[in-house]
Amino acid sequence: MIPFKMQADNIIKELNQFNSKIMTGLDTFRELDEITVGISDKESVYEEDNMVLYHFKPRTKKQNSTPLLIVYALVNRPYMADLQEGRSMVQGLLDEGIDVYMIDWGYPCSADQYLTLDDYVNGYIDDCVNFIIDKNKSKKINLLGICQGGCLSLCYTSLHQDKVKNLITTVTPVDFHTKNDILSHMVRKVDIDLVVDTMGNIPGEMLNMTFLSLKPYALLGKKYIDLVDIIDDKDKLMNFLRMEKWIFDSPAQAGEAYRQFIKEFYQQNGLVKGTVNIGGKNIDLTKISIPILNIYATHDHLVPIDSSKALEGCVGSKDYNSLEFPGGHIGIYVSGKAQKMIPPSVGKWLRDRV
Amino acid sequence: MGQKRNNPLDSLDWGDINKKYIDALGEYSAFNPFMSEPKPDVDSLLTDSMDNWWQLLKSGMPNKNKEVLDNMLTQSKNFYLLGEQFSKIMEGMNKFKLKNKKFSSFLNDKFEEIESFLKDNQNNFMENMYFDPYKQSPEAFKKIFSNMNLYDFQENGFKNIVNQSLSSPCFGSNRETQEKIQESIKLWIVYQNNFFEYQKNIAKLNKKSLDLLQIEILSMHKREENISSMKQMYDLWVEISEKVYGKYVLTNKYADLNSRLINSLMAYKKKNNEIKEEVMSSLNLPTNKSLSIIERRQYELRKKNKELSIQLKGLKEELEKLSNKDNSKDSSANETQKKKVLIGKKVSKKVGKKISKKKPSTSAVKPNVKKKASISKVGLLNKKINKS
Repeated sequence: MIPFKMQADNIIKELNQFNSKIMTGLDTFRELDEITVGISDKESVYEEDNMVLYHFKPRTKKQNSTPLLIVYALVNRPYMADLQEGRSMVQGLLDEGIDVYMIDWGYPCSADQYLTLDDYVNGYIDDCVNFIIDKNKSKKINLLGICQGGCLSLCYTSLHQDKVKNLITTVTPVDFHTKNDILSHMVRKVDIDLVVDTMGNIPGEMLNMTFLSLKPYALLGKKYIDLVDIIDDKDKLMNFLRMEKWIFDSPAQAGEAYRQFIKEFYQQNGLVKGTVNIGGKNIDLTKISIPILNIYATHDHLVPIDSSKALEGCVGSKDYNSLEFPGGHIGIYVSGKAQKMIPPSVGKWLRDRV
Repeated sequence: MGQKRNNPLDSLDWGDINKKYIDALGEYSAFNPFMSEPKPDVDSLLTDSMDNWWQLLKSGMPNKNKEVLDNMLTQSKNFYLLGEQFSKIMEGMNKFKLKNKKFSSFLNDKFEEIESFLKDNQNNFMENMYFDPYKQSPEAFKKIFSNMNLYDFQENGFKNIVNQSLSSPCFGSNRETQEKIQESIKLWIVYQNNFFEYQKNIAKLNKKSLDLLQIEILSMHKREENISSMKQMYDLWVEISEKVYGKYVLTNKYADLNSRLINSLMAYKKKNNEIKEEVMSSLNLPTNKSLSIIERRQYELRKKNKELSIQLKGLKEELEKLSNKDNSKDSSANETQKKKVLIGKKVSKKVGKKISKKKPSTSAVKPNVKKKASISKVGLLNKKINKS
């Protein structure tokens, strides 16, 4: 049997329909409202340089006595965790009775090019933790790290474990030299010193292109062809544009922090080896003895599952738990499936460890 | 049962008829009075009409959505190009019998045609597919060297011409500037060569993905699965291309190539920055280097300031603790002092009473001895209080 069940007139019809969809879709584009992101009520409670610490307004009468601080990655923007109604991990956590704070790193300027990981971990994060502890008169906080924010959270916990009660890492790379880590492979032999000495801060556009080049045919090509199928549906188009806004909303990376992160984490795999040095101290994950929940995505093309799973063998905690999400790196925060799975699991896990 | 009727179209090549239908449509477009040259391909009919439509409407589009629409239209052109190529597979399909061997060799021929199309430098398929974000640099250079085709790099033509121009005696305001500019252009050539090698390797992946697509179609044929639309074909091609690409980028060869490309670009950029800095400083304009120095100092001051604030806070807390301690000592010292006074009063009352009861003596010596004794008692009492 010939596998092609296409006829010429059907092909022309299909291409004509495709063409006319594009043309009629123009009207939908014209009618679109402003693309808004971040739906949960929040207020800025602490600011330091470009960094802002937000406190989300509780949605339940009673909250977990230990507040949760979300540490986002330095790449991209944190509103992805609170994208829109029905696709907000933050909202899910608030509904679980968790008192949520989140760090917004802002947009580094050239004056920030000398910020190091020490400034981020022992500076900004520690200041935020101290602020929350003072404000809530609690002795410790719960920490949730997202992607690179998970790496920063691990470093922070290793150095300031006395202030952290429970640690949650989500799609966090730990072992940067696993077999399928395309991103790690790409940067392995790049002269990072030359890059940072030339560029200063690393532009967001450069990072964008690196991430898109992991799956160029799907992310640069197919995505826009598939867009034609939804172009006449205003809601779906808004969802698409919201994600598109987030994908291309990339802050620059502070040069020195970028240099250290790529060299010590990606190139030298220092986190598992215990050679990452922050503020004069080596990060030793074996010292982490508090409860840990490690959440990873099975189809993550940015952080391979093996890279995240490696955390189990590195920490000294006797209360280590893991949660596997059947989805991708971004889907774990924005998909409908994730909202039903992740916040309730986190809520229950934290309630069991009050 | 009834006799099997013969289909009058049995003897005709159905695939040929379909292809002729498409070609006729393309030829019809040759009558379009708005087109300068007759173009017999359907993809050009569709892309040209889309281009004309977009040129008319682009200016009226809201700016924020223009980029997304541009990307969508660029990829749609690629979709049409692929559609045209894949539709050629239908030509001559009915001519052979359905044996795997003949079908596979037929498919082989058709895929070779598609491969030559993708290799053809005159179409923009690869540029639009993969290099669209990267083509800004080559396009900028195209404007400078407008007579050159960028693909002249393949024959080392451009490299030879540039090397020739570099060997001319004067290339800048002074010898050092000339040397730096020459170095910069040499670094640029290294970058361009690396970029070309990168493009070449990515283009090779196209051939590989076409081969795999061919194999997949044959296996679909065995599994009796269908491809019923151009979109399905496109999706299958994307899936296979991603697999091929994903496998390739995990090789050491790619890691080397990628790092050479980035390192050479950075080296070229760094050299350019040095030249720019020199020019700016000669014009007494603030340079990036001087700004970086200021920013570095500001960062270090900020850090020192923070450390000092923390120290100050610590000292304040210590001071507070100490002052609290002193306050509590003072209050206990005050209490002690009060007690002393009370006891002292009591003692002096007692002593006073004793002294007043005694007869006045005529001897000067005796009263003194008695007074001393009373004083020493008070002194003893004070000592005891102090000790307590």
